[in-house]
Formats: sequence, structure tokens, C-alpha cells
Amino acid sequence: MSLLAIEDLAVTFPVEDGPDVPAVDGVDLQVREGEIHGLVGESGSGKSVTARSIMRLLDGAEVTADRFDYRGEDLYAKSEAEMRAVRGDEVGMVFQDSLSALNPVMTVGEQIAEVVRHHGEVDESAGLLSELRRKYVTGTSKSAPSWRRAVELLETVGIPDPEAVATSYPHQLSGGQRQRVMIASALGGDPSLIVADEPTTALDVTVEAGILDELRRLCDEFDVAILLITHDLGVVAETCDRVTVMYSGSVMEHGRTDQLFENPAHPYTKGLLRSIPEQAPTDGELATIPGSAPDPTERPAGCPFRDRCPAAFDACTDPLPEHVVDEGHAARCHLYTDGDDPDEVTWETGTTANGEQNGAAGETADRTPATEVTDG
Amino acid sequence: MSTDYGDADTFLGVRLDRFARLRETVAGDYKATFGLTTVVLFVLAAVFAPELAPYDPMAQEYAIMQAPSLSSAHPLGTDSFGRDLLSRMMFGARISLGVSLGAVTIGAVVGVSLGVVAGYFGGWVDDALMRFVDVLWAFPWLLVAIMLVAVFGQGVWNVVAAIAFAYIDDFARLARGEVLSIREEEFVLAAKNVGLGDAQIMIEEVLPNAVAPLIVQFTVLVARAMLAESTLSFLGIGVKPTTPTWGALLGQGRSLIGQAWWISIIPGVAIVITVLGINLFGDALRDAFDVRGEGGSP
Repeated sequence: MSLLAIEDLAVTFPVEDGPDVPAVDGVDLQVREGEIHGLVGESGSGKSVTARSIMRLLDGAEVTADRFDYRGEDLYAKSEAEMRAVRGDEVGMVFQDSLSALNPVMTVGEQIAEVVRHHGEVDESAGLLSELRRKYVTGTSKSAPSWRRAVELLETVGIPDPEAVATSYPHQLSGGQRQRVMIASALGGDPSLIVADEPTTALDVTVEAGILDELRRLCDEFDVAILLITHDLGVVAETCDRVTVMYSGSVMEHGRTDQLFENPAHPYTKGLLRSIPEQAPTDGELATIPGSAPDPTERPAGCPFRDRCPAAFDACTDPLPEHVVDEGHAARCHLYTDGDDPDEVTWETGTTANGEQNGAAGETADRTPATEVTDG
Repeated sequence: MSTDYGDADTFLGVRLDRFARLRETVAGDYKATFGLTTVVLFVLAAVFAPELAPYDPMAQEYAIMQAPSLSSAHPLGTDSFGRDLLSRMMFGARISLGVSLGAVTIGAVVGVSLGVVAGYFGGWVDDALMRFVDVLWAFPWLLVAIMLVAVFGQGVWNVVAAIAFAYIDDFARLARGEVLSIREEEFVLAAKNVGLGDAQIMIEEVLPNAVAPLIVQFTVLVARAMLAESTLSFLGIGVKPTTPTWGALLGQGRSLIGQAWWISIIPGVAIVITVLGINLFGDALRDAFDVRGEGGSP
């Protein structure tokens, strides 16, 4: 059963003196209980907006969806008070920049203990007055259940000497430790879903591997589902059970990680996989997808990828159909509407969709970092 | 990194780590030491004036009117009515301390509340509250003081009200400015994500991050409030004329500056030193409260 089911999500940011920005347009997303679901895409493809729409924390945005169910209940039909119970209690969040996502003037133990008091099952008042007393006068007692739980959570996420770390301020910890603290804090409410928005982007590769292992272990151990937002297909291959690939505000393809990596259907997915350096030829230029993503205000009708697609043809200006490749694996592409052989899509190194984008391809190649999707 | 995580770091429910930081700050800095010493002496003199003062501040000795300072009986001399200046200074400190602390506290509570709410919500709430603050700011505080005295007569509370009124806008603007940048930080989003309400986020997450500049503002304004109280007393619209305050003493000695310089110079010097001391103490407090500053350990 799916924990989170979103159908045809559209998020538009109204802009004064200008066209509205449709950041997300037509996203379907299903996260099942206890799985790690990767949400992959370039910068600006709408990954983070999609994730934050789950929390209903997009100030000023117009959000519409055919379906936005969490455990079968429509999140956008809930009152603000009911929504506050969902946040933290049901859905925890891990941010990319752990230094700004942790309160700089509180010890990390206090911050986790606060989450525990608000959502966990401890017999401590979390009312405004008692929280005020804790914050400005007494601090959380080291023998209080919420503090002990905070220390326990820090230990759970693999922090050595959790008691000492709990009394530290965020700036005194390393980036990897802070990211673990964030995960501990997200676990404080004992959620069923953790939304991790590029949790390892700011970390170096060895620390990243540690954090990803931790997420994998927590997912198995606590039976918590994780929506992992990333632009790194290497991370997806190592960590995720299933993947949704986004491009310019829409979903291009989704399926199990093995299905998607072994038998990609959408030309965009194929292009992305081809751009992973390990799978590219070792001599010559790194493979890239020529061109860059369209401006969301000037998105072409039909398939947003068609200007960069080597297999684009007339039908691509029509609304995208969904093609089921295999069980649980579908791509939104016109190539398959008349039973074409998907193998006809060919990406060759240096080949571009059309001549005028040759220059763009070269430029993009120069700044493509290892294992990452071209950030356009 | 502190490894002391026993229960012992609170005393009577108050966190000791804050005082430990303050002690470290003061011990390492002679300006802070001077500030703290001045403030402590000032507060002690004010609080224990009835016990410490050598004479009744109202008692007159006609024989020794305008006695020069530095005599053993009257170390700071006497005024034109033969009253002991040291005693009058000590009792005057009570008024100065009470009025300035009271006025700035009221101004801070009102101003910070307005500023935090305005900055946090933004939009029309911000516009409405800050225009209200602009209106407050547009009143010259001296005129407000004169008006209050004219309507309600002279008294300590009118002085407190007039000064508090003048400082609301300083606190409101500073708090709003701080909150405007703090509310964009990701930890506020994270707090919303945890399901905290707006009131809790404002008081628990946002305000502690704005405390350092507010403390500095508080101490600067306490010093300015002392000057303001002195000004009002000097002009004769402060507390009752017979009550000894530093400003009134200074004002009364003004006409005798040729014959008895100490009557106005000594209160003046006392005001300068105390104001300086409070400012330096404020800097030390700021350093102690700002956990992000240098010095590392929490």
C-alpha cells in the first residue's frame, strides 16, 4: 500500500509584474511504506517544491492536485491544526544545509528533546509556558525523559559520545555530525516518512557514504519510508528502492531502481545514465545532454524535453501519454504510443539534437562534476 | 566541549552555564571588569542607601552650607542648604536606577513584542504595527514628558512612562530588523516542520537568536534613560523637586558653580562614570550571551 500518493500535482508561484511561475506541473508520486524513494532531477526541476508541498509549507504558492493522500487522507483537506500534528509526527524533514537548519543558539540536545516532547511519547508538558521556562531559565533537565530520548536518538544515528554531543551547539559539530543530528531530530517524532532534501550534497564523498548507509539502516530498522531528493544518480543506485525522474516540473519516468537502470525507457533517463562517468567511454569528452532546461515560464507545450531530445518528432508537442514499460515502471513519452522499439533512441558522444546546440554541449561538459546530473 | 552532563548545572532552577560564560568574559577583559564593578557599586549604593548613607539626605545643617568637599565629616561636601552630598547621591542613585530600569524594561517589553510580531508575520501586520511605531517615534519625548507632568503632576511614574514611551520605537525597530533576517533561516522552516505554532516559534526559536543585540540596546538605553531622567530633573519636570536625583543635584548646583563647583561637578562625573560602566557591562553581557562568538565552549 502506498503511504503517500500524489497525482497530477501542480504548484504555481504567483509573481507580481510578471508571468506566474509554474514550478511543478503534472507530478505523480507514490511512496510506499518502508521504502527509500529517490526523486531525481536537475536543479530547478521542481524536486524540492514537490517535497515541500507534502508539508504544506509553500507560502503564497497555488497548489492543486487530483489526489494528495497520505495514508488515504487528503493532506490539503486538513485544517492547520491537524496539519501541525502531521508535521514531525508523521513526516520528518532533513534539510541540505544543516548549519542553517539547526537553531544556532540552542544545544542540539535541546532541539531534539523539543521535537520529542512535541511528538514523542514522553510524559512532559510541551505547553508554551513550560517550554519558555526551559528555554530561558532552566534548560531541559538531563534526567528528563525527553533529554534521555534525545541522547538515545543521537546514539541511534551513529554519533559517538552522544551525551557530550547533545550539550554542543551546532557550530561546534562537523558537517557530517550535524547531518546526523538532523536525522535524529527528524526521528524524534517517530515519523513514518522522512523527506530528505539533498541531505548529502554539502558533504564530502566518504561522509556521504556514511550518511547514506545510516539512512538505509534506519529505513530497515525503524520501517520508516524515506523520500530522498538528489541530483546524483550514483546516490540513487546505491540507496534507493524506487526512483522518480523529474524534468522541468514534470515526471519523466518512474520505476524500481533496477528496472530504471537496466532498462531506461525515456530518452532523458537514458541521457542521464549515459552521463554517469563510470558508464561513459574513458577517452574523450564526458557525455552530456546538450542544451539546458527550459525556463519554467516559457516551457514548450507537450514534452518539456523535446528541444533537447535526439528522438523528438512531431507528436512531442501533444500532451504526454504514459507508457507502462513493465510492472511498476512507466515513462511519459510519445515514442511508445505506436509500439516503436525503444532502442531506436541513440545518444552518441558529441551528438546533439540539432546543430545550434553544439556550443551549449561543450560548455556543459566542461562544468559537469563527477557522477552528477548536468546542473543547468 | 563540555563533558559535564550531570544534573548539577542548574541552581534554584537557573542555568549556571550562562553565568559561567559571563564570569569568563568579565575575567578576561579589563573594560568588562570596570563595567561590572561600576554597575555592582551603583546597585549596592542604591539598594543599601538607607543603611550606608552617613546622614539623612534631607537633614540641613545651616552652619556648614556649601562646605567644601574632602572634609572628613562630609567627603563630598554639602549643598546650599547644608545637606550632605554623599547621602543625597546615594539616595539619588535609587531614583536613577529605579526610573531607568523600569522605563527601559517597559519600553523593551512593549517594543520587542511589537517588533517580533511585525517582523515575523510581515505583510499588513508589519505595516500596521510599524506605522503605529512611527507615530510613537514622531512625538518628541520631552514634549510628551511635559504633557504628562502637566496633566498628571510630577511623580516617579510619569517620568517612567515618558521615558518608556520614548524607547518603544528603538526596541521595535531593532527587534523587527533582527526577526526579518532570522525568519528566513531554515531552522524556522524546520520548526514549522516539527509542528510548532507561530507563538512558540516566535518566542522559542526566533527571539533567542535576537537576544544579543537586544541586550546591548537595553544597556545603552538604561544609560540613556539615566541621562533622560537627569535631564527632566534638571529642567524641573522630573520627580518632586525635593527628592534627591543626580540630575536635580546637578541642576541645583549650576548657579553656584563659581562658589561651590563640587555640587554640580560630582553628580555630573557620577553620571558619566555610571553610564560608561553600564555600556561596558552591556558589551560583556553580549559576549556572554552570544554562543556563536569566539571562545568555543558552551
